[in-house]
Amino acid sequence: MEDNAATKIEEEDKSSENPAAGDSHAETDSHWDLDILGEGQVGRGTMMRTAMGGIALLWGGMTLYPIYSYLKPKASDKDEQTKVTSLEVCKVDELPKGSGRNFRFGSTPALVIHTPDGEIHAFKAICTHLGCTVQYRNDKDAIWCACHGGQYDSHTGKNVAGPPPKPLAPLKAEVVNGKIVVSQA
Amino acid sequence: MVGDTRRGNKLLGFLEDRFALSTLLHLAEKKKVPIHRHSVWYYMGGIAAIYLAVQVVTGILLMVYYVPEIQSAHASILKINSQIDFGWFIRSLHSWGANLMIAVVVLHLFSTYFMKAYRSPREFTWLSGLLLLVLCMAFGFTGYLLPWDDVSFFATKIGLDVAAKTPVLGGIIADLLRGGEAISQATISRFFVIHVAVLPICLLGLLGGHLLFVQMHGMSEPDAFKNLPSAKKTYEKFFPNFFFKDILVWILALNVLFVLVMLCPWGIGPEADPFGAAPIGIKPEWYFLSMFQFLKLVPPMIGPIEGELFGILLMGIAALAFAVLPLLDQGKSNSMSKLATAYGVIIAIAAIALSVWGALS
Repeated sequence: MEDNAATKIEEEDKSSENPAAGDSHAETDSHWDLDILGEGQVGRGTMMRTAMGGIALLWGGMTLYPIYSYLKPKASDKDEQTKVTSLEVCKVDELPKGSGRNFRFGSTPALVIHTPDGEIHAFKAICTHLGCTVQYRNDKDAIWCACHGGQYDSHTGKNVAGPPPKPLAPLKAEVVNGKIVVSQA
Repeated sequence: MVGDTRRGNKLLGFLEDRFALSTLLHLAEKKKVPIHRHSVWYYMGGIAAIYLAVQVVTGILLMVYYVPEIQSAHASILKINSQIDFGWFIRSLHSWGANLMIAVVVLHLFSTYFMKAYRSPREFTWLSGLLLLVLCMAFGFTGYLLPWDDVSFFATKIGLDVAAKTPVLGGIIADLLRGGEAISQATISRFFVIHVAVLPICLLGLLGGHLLFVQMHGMSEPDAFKNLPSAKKTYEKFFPNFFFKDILVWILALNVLFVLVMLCPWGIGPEADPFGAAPIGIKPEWYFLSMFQFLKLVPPMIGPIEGELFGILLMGIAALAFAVLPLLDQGKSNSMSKLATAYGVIIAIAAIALSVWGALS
């Protein structure tokens, strides 16, 4: 594009040296009559340069698009089998008060907590800061992320300290026949 | 010289006719290295190069046994470490060598910066060097995932999530690198290809340019040396004087590497568990530590924008200024020169302080 601009300036320079040249078609070397947009005549060189640039861009696009599509992950790569709506994690006895357990919920890591006051809560264990997997810490009675020290309330999943900007995504936890069942909230 | 080799030895004459050896030797002899109290920094590029050579050789050797597959990757490293003869040695050379190389490259960067070796006509030597540092960090980042242990898993997770927060193209690039929503086989395959094929090609091209620029412009002379009366300036020949000192320094550098490898062979953590909690005390490699610590300090929200994004933008601007200030400081304005130096000092102190803080906290 810069080339084009340079050529135009050159042409303008010529015309300022010779005021008659601007009006005269015969002065410049073989112009094609392509003045569709009313921008003045297009020189053969300009035309060729523009065409070459355009072809190069097109060719580049034609090459890059298949490569991009080839590398782009498919949405269907998400395994259908890993879509889970509800899951039996363990027996209540296996998770004493004041402890938590990380488990796999479909394709996401999840966390179930048996709080010291006897409540059971479950959350997706993905830290809202940078996606690390969080864990329950008994000493703080809080959900904690080892990566950057983010903390969440163990009852509500609300972000209470450190860098996380949002609360944890909740899951539904119930006790059915002495077993902890976690399902989508 | 030309006459000598032609008459003296048929083989030399044969090579001379085909490769113009005497011209090359003449060039090497003509190249001169200034002698002053900061001359020691001239060795940094050479040390980086010898460590790079170690990386290439050990990397090729590791590829013989390493398997870039999610079920086997960790086991294949364990096998290299424990069953293959000298496997632990080759792998430790690769891991320690990578760290030493980045350390030397960083020293090279700051010595160049403070000696103002980036001034005209060496702007492109400076910029290509910066890009080489970025490539080194990309090597570090992609190579870190390959052993598939617990820290490598979470380091990659955080790294890609940081990338994803970068405006405009960040999300697309992170997705292409990850090869899906979660870190998986696709990520290992992609990182492997980038680590052993894409980055090496880029490195070769860029390093070729960098070295070519160095040969074209010769050794940079700091102002204090340049302003001496010419009678007081002393130089030594690159070949053979500096060249042999270079070899001596290489031997020392290799010895440092060997001692580290012998005393602290590189280990491997437990295999990555994509659904387990992040291990307590997890930290990135030291060369990412300052950025890690900085992101940890940024509050969750700054006004309407997320703290993370704000932190990334701020670090991006700081890095860009570090790359561009040298192009503005061309020795014509004293205040510009002081500004560039002051900025370099601030960046260096901030990086060191944040890294130490990150390591201790």
